[in-house]
Amino acid sequence: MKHKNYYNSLQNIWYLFKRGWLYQKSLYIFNGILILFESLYPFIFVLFPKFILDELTGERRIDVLTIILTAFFLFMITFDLIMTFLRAKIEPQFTILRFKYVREHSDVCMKLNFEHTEDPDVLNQVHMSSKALSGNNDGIEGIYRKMFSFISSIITFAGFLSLTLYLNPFILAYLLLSSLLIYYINLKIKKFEHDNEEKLAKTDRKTTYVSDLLNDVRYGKEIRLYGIRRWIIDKYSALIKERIMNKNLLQKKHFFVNLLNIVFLLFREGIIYAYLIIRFLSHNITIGDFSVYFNVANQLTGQIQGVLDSIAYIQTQNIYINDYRKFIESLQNSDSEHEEKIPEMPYTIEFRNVSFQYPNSSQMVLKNFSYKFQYGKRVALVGHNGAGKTTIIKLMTGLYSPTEGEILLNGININKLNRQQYFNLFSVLFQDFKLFAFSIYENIALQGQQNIDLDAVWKYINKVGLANKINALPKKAETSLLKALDYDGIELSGGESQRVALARALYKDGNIFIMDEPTAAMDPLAEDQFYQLLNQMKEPGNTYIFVSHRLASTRFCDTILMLQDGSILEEGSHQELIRKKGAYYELFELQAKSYREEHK
Amino acid sequence: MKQTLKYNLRIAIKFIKIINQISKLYLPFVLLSIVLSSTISFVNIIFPKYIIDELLGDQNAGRLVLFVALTVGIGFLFNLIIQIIGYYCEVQNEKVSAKLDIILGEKSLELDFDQVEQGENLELKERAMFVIRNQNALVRMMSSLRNIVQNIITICGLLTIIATLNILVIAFIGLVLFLSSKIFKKQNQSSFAANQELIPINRIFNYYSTLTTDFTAGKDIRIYNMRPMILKKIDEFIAKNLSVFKKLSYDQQKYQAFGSINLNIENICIYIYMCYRVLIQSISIGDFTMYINAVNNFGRSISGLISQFFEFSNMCQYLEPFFEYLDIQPKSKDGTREMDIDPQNFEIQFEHVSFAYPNTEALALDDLCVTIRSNERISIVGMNGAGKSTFIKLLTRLYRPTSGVIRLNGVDINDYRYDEYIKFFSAVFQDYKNYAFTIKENIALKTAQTASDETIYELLSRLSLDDKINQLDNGINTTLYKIFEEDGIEFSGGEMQKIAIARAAYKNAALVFLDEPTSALDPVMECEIMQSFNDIIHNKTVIYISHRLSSCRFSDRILLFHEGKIVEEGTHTELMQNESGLYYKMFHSQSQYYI
Repeated sequence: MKHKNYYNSLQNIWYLFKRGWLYQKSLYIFNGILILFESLYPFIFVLFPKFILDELTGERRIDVLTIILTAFFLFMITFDLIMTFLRAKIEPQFTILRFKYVREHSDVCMKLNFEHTEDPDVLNQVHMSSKALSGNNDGIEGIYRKMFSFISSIITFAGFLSLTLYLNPFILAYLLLSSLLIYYINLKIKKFEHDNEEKLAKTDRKTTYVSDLLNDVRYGKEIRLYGIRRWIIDKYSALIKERIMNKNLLQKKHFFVNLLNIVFLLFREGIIYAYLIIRFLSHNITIGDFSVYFNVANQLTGQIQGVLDSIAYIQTQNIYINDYRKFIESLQNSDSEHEEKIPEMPYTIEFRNVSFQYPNSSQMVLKNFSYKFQYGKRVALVGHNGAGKTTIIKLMTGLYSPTEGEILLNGININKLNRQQYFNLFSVLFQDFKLFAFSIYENIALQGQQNIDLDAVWKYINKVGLANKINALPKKAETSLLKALDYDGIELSGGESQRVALARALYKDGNIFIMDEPTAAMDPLAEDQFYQLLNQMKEPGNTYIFVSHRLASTRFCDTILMLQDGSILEEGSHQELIRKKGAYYELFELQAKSYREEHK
Repeated sequence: MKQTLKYNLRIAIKFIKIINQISKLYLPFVLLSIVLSSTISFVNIIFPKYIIDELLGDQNAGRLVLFVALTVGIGFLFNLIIQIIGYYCEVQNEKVSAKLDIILGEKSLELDFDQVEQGENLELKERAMFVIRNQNALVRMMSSLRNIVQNIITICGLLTIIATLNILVIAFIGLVLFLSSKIFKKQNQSSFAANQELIPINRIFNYYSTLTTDFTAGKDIRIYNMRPMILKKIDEFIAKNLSVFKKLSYDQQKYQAFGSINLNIENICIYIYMCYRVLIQSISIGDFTMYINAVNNFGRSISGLISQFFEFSNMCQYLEPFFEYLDIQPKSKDGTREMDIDPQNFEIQFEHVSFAYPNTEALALDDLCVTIRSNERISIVGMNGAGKSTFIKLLTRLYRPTSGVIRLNGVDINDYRYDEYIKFFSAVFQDYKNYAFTIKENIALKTAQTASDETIYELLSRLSLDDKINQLDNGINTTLYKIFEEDGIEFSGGEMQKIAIARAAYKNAALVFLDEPTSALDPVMECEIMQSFNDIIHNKTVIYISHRLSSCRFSDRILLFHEGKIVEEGTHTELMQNESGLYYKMFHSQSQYYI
């Protein structure tokens, strides 16, 4: 709402105009010519009938009539064909142009600071700005289409206007005034509509969410098992009712305007008829003129409406354009702070008095946390749920910034570094990693086809123990994952997916290797294989950080950090901490107990 | 895909039936509106003739006033009624669209689970959904149908007017019509093919745009610098589609061109004929104007009819998947037996059960024979892909065995009524899902309205979640996740898992499955939860799938799955005695770190 008057319509039109030229020059050229023809086309049907009528009520010369009729025909056909041809050229350009804007939008989404992506405010903005791109006849594509047709309708309108001026300025005044009144009211309604939409944005998203619950296969198991189908459908119905009620208000307003329009129409036709009849009876105009002026005057209202509608349309879409621009431009500010060059290997990352709370939360997840992650070391982070382990990972990788304190890479505050270059240093296996609807190769390499080192990919497929499974597939590593893009894609099990994500981290070969619960979904033998793998990972310059509940994994690490309530409770090697007989020891014993009794 | 008119009409009729369910007045109102619109058109064609003839004739003021008043008055009155009807219909349209969405969702849940997962059904459903969400297809279809009827009525009326001129003119117009319809048919086919090509394009495009706005992929996208790759894919996509769009557009407009040539020729011929008739004095100027208007209107109506036919046909094509999807019969009929089973005393038997997933040859379960008795605590272990989850899915009737039978107290489980059968089970799946509703709703689900807060808090306290939740402003009425409410709560992975566990416990079913229920929990929590499980679900039957073999020690029986079969079975102690067995190997591989 705050950005309602961010840019006015003219500024936005100019903005779109400039960029459209950059993106799709051919669109402008073809449209330019089309405008010429479109604006003149209606006049053919105004002028020629008049000539014919005048000749028929006048001299009745056959040769003159023949010429008029021939000319009429030629004009009609030529214009028609040329306009059709041009439209054929133009139509695909609009859609492609919109695609290019979607590309830009996607780009911005990917560049957003990560902390914004969990902020409902930003999510709303993303939702609203996406609306500007959602259809063929609305938002940005809508404006482009309108822009050009608007110009031709203005030219036609000017022509009709001058014809009517011949007639009587008062009629013109009436037509203009009644149309302006309708326009003004429509504008108010559109503003109401948009304001309403922001409020509706949340309901809209909820409705989509619930509808997805019904239709997304992944929820299907639970919905069946708990028999909650009806319950969710009822929720959906309730949300829909809410939306319908909101729309109803809008529809009432439209109805009112339409009624007003009809009343104006009544008077307009009456006035025009009366006036023209009087003029004819006082021998001021011919029948040919009568016919023409009648048509023109009636069409003029349509013309005025058309022009005003276009303006109104542009005004309302303007709001969406603002949503879009605000979103795109919000990014420009955040980039420029990153100045310093990424230092050379090896890397030491230091947390200095770092405290952190998530946006919109009052709880401090980390409290005065200080630690130096040395290169070449393997560190395990253990602790209860909510102790802050995953948060440390998110801070270390630069996805979030500390609320207090700083994080330093070889002594430089990471906020001063180029964010993407900083990201590039890390290989991370997240707890909630995501696989994509691309080929297995691409899911591992996360690069375009041409840049993938196939041998390396297979090396890691073997290392993580997926070779058998993948070789058994008909398309092997070309097989798509998920079913979203390729209905023949496969859905991997939890453990298999985790291995793909691990291969991904290995392939990237970052200097700082982070794994967050890497074996949660793996069976014991796979898990064991994994620990063997871990044991081999000992590049001298690299840092390895593991977050896991499985204290078995901590045995591979040089140092274990035991966290509680956002700070370090205990620190040391496995042996040291066992000897200490503190919290770590207790935790270890708890897990070991159940395994150990067997070997008594 | 037959695209005949008859076929499309059948689709339209199906929708009209749905509309009728919501409002019986809709159809009659629309018909009325059509009649009135047509009348207005005729009035505006015929009456000017009388005005002009009067002007060129007697110039009787009284008659002139009458004609003008009638023309303008009828227009006003009828337009008014049309607007009122339009408003009514708009309101109904919203309701209809919503209903379609619900029908679709209900259908998805009615089908067998494996049908829902099938590639072609997924595609069908997506096409059905796309249309309803994005294109407002139903409204457009109704609107085009209405316009078609209106145009037809107008055309008939115009033909009648023109017939008063000369029957041959009708013949001539008939020829034009015939040519138009041929062109139209070609255009239609071309458009249909075009739409088929567009569907996968739209799907892919949607995936890319949602990928970047769906921030659950956000971490991976940033850390792995996926931006260049995704942008490149989008660029390739755009380039590829430009040529597709160009070709489609060209095809469409080609027919458009033929059509307009056709009509323009017709136009000029009529004009010539009219002039001739005026010159030989057999019609008046008023008639001339009227007939020209009629013919112009006729031309417009034909073009209108053609484009509306198009729209109608397109919309029906869009809507067709909707009905195709609805027509899918659930593969299996629901059973009919009532369930009257004592939760303390039952027996489940797998008799030579084999199962392969659709479109797969490999057997996920291979001639499985096992019995499960009430009050048993069973652990199911095995490597990934050994068949453990499949076992559960078959038991909960998400899938049906390819061969063999599963019996509950001697009766084939598929014979029982599904909604009764399912009350018997409760589960926490490995890929459990929580909902962006309140905590209370997440736990009590459909009984949330009447559920007692105390019971829920008690459950939460056994899972050690009560303190944290008590501290929230809205307590158990806090919404999970932040996607809708700013004050929604984002729990950690482990806490989310506990909510899922609470939900399973709350259901109070006789048999509980736990599929890796504590994988995201730390050891202390894990221990606590296993403890409270024992409280929460004492005197229930539990089937426990876990990779943490330490948990097996509390089970009465362990089933070791391998390649779809049960290869070892017994208590932990028994199995550990077989030192060359798989179980021993697996246990050892985990325990070695704790020794």
